[in-house]
Amino acid sequence: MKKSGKEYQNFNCFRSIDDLPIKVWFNIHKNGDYRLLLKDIITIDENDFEYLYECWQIIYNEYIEMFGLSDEFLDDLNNQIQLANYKAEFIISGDRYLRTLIKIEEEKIEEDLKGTSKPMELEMLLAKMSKYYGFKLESKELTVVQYYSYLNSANNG
Amino acid sequence: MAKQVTNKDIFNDDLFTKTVDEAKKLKKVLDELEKGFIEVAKAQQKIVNSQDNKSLDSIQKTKNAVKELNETEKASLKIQQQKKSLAVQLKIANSEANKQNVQNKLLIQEQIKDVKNLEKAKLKNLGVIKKTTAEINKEIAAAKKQRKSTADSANAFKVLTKQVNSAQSRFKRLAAQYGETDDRTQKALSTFRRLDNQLRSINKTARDGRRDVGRYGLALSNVGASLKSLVFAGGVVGAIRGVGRAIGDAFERVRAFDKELQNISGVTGIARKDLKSLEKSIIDVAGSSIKTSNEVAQLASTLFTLGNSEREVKLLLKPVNDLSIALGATSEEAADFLGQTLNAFGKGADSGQEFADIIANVRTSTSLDFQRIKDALGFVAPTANALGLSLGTVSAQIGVLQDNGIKAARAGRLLNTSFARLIEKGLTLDEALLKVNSSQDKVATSVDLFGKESFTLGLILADNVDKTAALANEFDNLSEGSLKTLTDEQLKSMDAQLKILDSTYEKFILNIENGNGVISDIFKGFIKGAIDAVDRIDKLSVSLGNFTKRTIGARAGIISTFEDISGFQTDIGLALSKGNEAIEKETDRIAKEFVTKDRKTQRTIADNLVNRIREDIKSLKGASVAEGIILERRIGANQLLISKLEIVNDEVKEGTDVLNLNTGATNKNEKAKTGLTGVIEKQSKAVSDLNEKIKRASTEELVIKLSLELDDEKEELDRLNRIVNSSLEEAQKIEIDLIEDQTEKRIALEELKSKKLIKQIQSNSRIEQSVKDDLIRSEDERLIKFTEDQEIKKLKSAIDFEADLARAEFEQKRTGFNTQEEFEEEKAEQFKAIKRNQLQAELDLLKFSGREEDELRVAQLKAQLEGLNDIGKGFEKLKGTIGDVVQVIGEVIDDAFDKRIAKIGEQLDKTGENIDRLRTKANEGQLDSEESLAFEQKQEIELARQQEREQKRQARTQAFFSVLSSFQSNDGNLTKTIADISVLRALAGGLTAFDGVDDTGPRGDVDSKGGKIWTLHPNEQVHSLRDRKDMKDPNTGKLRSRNELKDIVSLHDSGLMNDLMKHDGSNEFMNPSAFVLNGMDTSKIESKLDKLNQSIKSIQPITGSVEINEAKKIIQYTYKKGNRVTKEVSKLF
Repeated sequence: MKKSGKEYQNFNCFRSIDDLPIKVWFNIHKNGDYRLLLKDIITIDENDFEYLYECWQIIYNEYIEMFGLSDEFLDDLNNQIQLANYKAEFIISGDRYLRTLIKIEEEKIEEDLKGTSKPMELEMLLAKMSKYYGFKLESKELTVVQYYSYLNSANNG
Repeated sequence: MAKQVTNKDIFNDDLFTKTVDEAKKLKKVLDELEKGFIEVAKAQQKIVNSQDNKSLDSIQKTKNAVKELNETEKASLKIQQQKKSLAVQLKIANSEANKQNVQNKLLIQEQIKDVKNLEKAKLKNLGVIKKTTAEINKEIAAAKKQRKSTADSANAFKVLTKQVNSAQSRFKRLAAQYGETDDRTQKALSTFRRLDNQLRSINKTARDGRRDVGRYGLALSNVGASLKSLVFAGGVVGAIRGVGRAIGDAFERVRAFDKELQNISGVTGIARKDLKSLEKSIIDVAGSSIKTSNEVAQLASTLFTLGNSEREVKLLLKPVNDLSIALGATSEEAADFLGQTLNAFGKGADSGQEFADIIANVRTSTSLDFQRIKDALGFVAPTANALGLSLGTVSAQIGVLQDNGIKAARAGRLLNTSFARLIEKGLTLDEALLKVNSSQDKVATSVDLFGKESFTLGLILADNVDKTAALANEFDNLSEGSLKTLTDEQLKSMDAQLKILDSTYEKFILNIENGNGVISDIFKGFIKGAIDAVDRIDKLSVSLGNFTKRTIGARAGIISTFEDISGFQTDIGLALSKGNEAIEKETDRIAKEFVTKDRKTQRTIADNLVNRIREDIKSLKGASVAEGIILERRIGANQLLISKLEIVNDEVKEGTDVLNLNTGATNKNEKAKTGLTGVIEKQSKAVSDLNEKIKRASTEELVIKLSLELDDEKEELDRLNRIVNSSLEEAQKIEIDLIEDQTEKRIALEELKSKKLIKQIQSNSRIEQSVKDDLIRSEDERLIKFTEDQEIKKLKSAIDFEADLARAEFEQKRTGFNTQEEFEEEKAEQFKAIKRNQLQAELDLLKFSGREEDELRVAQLKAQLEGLNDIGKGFEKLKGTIGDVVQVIGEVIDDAFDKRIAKIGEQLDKTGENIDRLRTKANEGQLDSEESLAFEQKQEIELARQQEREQKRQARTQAFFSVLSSFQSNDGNLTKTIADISVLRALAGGLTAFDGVDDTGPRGDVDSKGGKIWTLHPNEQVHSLRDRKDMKDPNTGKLRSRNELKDIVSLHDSGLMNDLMKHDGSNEFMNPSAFVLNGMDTSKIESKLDKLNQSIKSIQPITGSVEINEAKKIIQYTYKKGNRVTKEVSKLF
């Protein structure tokens, strides 16, 4: 049975990037398991899961609002959208020249994706950042806001 | 009795109907699916374009819609593929012809065995007339057989004789089995005696001794009387006729052979009777080859006329004959060629076989055929002999040159001039080639020895000395038996086997009689007697009016055939009574007139002639003896006429083929000329350019390569120059006539086949009448459809040709335009109009024919026409759309790169400020900043590199899109051009420009120095290899990279370490040993280094920088460990 709004307000979980540890942020990105937003280990039902997803959306939107999406990300997304539009036009009209444009777009996206390697572990990143800043950064303590703030600060020199 | 398997046992009646229905259903389903996909695509596209992508939900919706569209696109492509495949299957299954093919196939297979060999021969070589001739021959044979059978059955005497023999056999068999006293044996004996007595009685009356076993004397003494009796009993004509027919062919061969030998006798002055030995040789040679004795006799004549003695002719007969067979040449050509080659090499007929073997070996070991060998040796043989070269050696050289792309005739000609040159210089070919090979400048040596025109030959031969020697050895020493092997191969074909059979038969005939003997005289007597008898009976019969009307009509058949149809007079009827000579003469005359008639009349004449012969054959079956003679003579005359018509027809056809070939080529060339105006000029320029390149070329490989190209280009130029002279009108007429003729021929052939098939169906006793009727009806329908198809195809070809011609005409009339653009615009309009007319004409044609199967094509044509009407606007729209797209894509990418580069620039500025600050500190003696300075400098370099990479990438993209844009502006065929993405990619790669480069890499092929094409931008600097060597690292000897040079310059200009150190790539920062090498005081350096190291220990190093790329989920971390700077790129999540 779905809990009431009030009940969910009392749900002990992360709801903001201000308190969400960076480790949890990384793990949810990695596994897609929104249960990690829970601060206590409890059994949840499907409705709870939906609520957690809503929380995740709030957190993510907060992140976007605060740090924004990079130009690269938007470029990539726009490329994907452009490609999708060509494909849709092709399906609708059947014009063969669109195949060429599709191919060009695919080549471009593929080219952009070249050169990436295995993801680096969070702890390793934090170790490097710690070295950079001269003090230790803990993955369990460091919040998403802090992490990206440090990162941006280091990035902007 | 086993039931005959029919197609109905194998296929259900509704097999095709079901298949077609199922396919149609499936097509409907696919159509529905496709519609569904379109709906999905529309919906998802709407989602994609409606999202602001400013929240997670929005981004996810976008990504889901993108994913959905990707899946839909894949499914849509698959459906399109399936639909395409289904359409093909449906078309096949829907074809009426396909249905009927199944029906007819089994029946045709049943019949096919009987006519297979005949069909093959006929279809391969002969036209309609030849086919009908073969049919007639078959019918004649059948008629003769039937007549013989009828006559035998009707002959009571023969029947009685047969019965006696049968009774006698039966008695013997029973006596042996049951004994003579057995009742059954006695009964059989009684029957035998009764019949035997009856026969004896007849024989006694007729004084025939055949049954008077043991009374040989009586029998022999009565022979003369019996023969006389037979002759005078009115059977004389029949007897003569039978014998005459039997020996007719043999006599003809004897006569022709005799004539040829008489000719030889005349040419050589040797008496006919003294040519017996030669006759034997001729007969022996011919008997084992596909050539007839008469052909070999003609060859002997040719050899005599070439100046050979009888002995030489005998020696040359076999090799020349075999050579002509092996090389597919005529005897005369082979005789000429072998004779000339022997003469050129100073050899006699004794070497004929050896030379023929070598030539055969050359044919099998190289790509040279008879014509090429002949052309090449014709040039070179005389001078080769002067140089002491053997036939094998010269052939090997020509073969090697041919294999290296020099055409044989050219090789022969150039070798000839080269050899003449070498003779003048007093050199042998081996010496000359040795000189070339040992020369430092092979090209110059080759030019000097072989001449400017032939120096490539010299280079090729010098390069292939071993190969040529090996081939020459093979030709000169290992050729024995080659001719036989090659000839045997040629003789394996069925056609050749039949010819051998023919010549073997002829050999048999000629061995019996050579045209000058007793038998021949007897034969001649018989023929003469027969003709006289026929004449007498003919006249008698006509005067008495005893012939039936039909027979008289038949006799006049040839006359009426020609007079009624062709309108010209003939005396062939009269000629019938004047003997073979008159018939020959008359048929020759008719054949000559025949070829002057148009094709339709010719065909009618041929058909009527054939029908006349058929009727005569039918009449022959029931004709009296006298009538039979007339009929057979007329059939013979008509057959002779047909054979002559075939010959003249073939001759005319060959002539026409040559004409068509020439005019066809001219026509094509005309099109090429008009379609590609200025192509000759371009070709001339290409030739001129190649000449220039050859002049500039410095390596022999390049010279050879270019020379070969030059040969090809020159030939092409010649060809183009040759073809500019024929008019479009001529070409049009010929083309249309050709299309019509071919269509007529195909229809006539199909009609003939159909008639035959129907006849076979009718005569097949295993098929029920109702089935027969169905089959015949469907065959009739098929034929009608075939004819319609052909007619439509013909008209369609004519329409297409008209359109081609109209286009060509427009191209030709390109005057009146001020600019090329004007011309192109008008051309586009004109071509569009032509295309529209072409489609409209086809549409009208198909509408007029009103056939169901053309409905799809009609719909296509309508759609095409509609599209064509809007093509101008549509094309502009398309062009604009693509142009915009290309422009936008290019701008988007440029923006992205500009942003990245700007960011790098910002970082560089910041780093630069740091460096300035630290340098100041360092100059003030605060050496603890040195490490930071070094790091910053390093970072600066890294950033600069990164910037370079980005710029490089931007340049590549710009190049790519500039290519795309240029293609876009090519409105000739934009869609096709863009579709060829691989071309674009290749061009994009080829046109890439770089902002400087470290090393230009391996050799290119633009010039002899390994040059390649690069794009330079304004104010760039290029260092030569020599410059780079001047700046190389003295320790490692390696060339320095640009970054090293820039580092050194930077350090030098900063003045910081001007006298202290030099950059060394091996250490990336500084190399103490370099100081010593530069002659500097090491103690000062050591002191400074100590201070430096201390300051390093005291400072907190800046560890590096981190850069995040959200789009790629990448983090880029640059950090330093000691003097080593490392950059790591990792995924963020």
